[in-house]
Amino acid sequence: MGAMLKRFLERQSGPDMEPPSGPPLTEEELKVGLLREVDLFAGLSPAELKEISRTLPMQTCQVGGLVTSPDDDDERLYVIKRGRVRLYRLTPDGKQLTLEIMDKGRIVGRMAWLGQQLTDAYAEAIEDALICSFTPRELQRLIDRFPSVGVNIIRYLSGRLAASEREREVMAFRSVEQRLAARLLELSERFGQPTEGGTAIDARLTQQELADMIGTSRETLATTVASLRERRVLDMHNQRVVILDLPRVRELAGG
Amino acid sequence: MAEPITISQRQWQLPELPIADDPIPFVDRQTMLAADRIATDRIGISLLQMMENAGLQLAELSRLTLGGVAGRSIVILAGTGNNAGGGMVAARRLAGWGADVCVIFARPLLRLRPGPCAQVEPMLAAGVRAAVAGHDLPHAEIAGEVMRADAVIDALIGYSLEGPPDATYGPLIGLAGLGSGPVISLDIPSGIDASSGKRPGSAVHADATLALALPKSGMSLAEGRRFSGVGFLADIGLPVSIFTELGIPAGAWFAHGPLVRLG
Repeated sequence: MGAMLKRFLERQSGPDMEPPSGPPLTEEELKVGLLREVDLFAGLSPAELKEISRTLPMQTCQVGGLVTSPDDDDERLYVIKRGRVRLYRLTPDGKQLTLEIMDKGRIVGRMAWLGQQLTDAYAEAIEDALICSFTPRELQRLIDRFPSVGVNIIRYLSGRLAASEREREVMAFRSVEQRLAARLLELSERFGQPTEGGTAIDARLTQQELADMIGTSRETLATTVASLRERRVLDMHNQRVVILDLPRVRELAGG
Repeated sequence: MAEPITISQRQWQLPELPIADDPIPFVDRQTMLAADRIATDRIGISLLQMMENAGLQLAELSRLTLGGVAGRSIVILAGTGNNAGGGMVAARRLAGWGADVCVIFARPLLRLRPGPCAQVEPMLAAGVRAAVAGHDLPHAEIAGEVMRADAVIDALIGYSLEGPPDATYGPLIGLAGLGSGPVISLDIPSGIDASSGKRPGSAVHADATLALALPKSGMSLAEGRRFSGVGFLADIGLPVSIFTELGIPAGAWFAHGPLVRLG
């Protein structure tokens, strides 16, 4: 444990852990890796949560105390059980810049394999806080004991992956429409059947599968398909895609 | 005999920019949203490209208004959306031109959307000062910054707002007009409905509004008319074909340059 932390934290016996609750993470939270207790411990019974709370050390951090700082050299996550914590970084001129205000149920700290990498961030208690923490090894033990914690982590990480894909999409130079056109062109060469009005692709693909293939969300795919349908470029019904305007699809795919 | 009262001369003047020859249409929120979608999802103009263009033109309008920015102080009020992203680009450019720039954020930084989030690091690297209102800088000190500033840029809320602004924006909206310098709003004064021009809550009263791509109808309707001040329009690089596809008559709006004055 880092030196700063030692200075500010004093150990205290932990009260019973309450079942985690809270709204689902927003896309922004997912992108920056703001983990919540509910993401880790969802679906566990009160008895199981109690058991976890007995194994994880519980600490208090007084107002102004640092929960974690870039000086901490170990990997550790901190679950805020009570109170509020301000996450901040330093600007080049040494001033504090607030990143987030976190309250009960939020998790701060560093753990590479959970994608928690706010390495330059300080976390300071702005209300007396009660905090429990765990290391990667302790988390590993929790997963061994409660496999659903492992499943929750997979769910959380895939949420982050999807969010970062959507982000890349917004920033990407090649649009969803272009990627879709390229993939459909490829599929039409393999599965295409000439049909009335165009080329039918009987690949039995759901919108979700198609979205996954081009690395986008189902929602974005649906919007893109609707726009192409409106422009009579293609049609999609019952997992069957019909390319109505092949030259236009070629043009899009090549763009 | 009483000393003659000297009234300090105004240190700024909105620039006499050309007016487009072709009539410039005003668009509502839905049309602009559709145009932005076509640009990003179909044509492949990234959000970052548009943001960079918007911010550069905002910086340029500020520079022209102040008659040069070296040594001048500029406060930029930023929200969490793409409007804030444009404001942060302007901050970086203005700092590069020698201005002392301070960006005041309404919310903690991790609430920023991904596009504007990407602007934070380059902005700080350019030497821009930054603080989150209420957390890093008390409102009284922000008021001091605004009063000392030669210009205030409003990049709090863009065209997508429906209804009154979030309560956390209230104090900054209230502070925007405290100084003696110009208040320049990006795209639409924060708090004004981009479609109707109505003001459901507090709003920034701008001396000038720099609209992006095409002006929003709220600038010419209801209270939006008064709150927008003098209207300017920036070319952010959207092809005119996007607008013709949406049923808007095309025009050579930027034949005289990337910044024009709305007639």
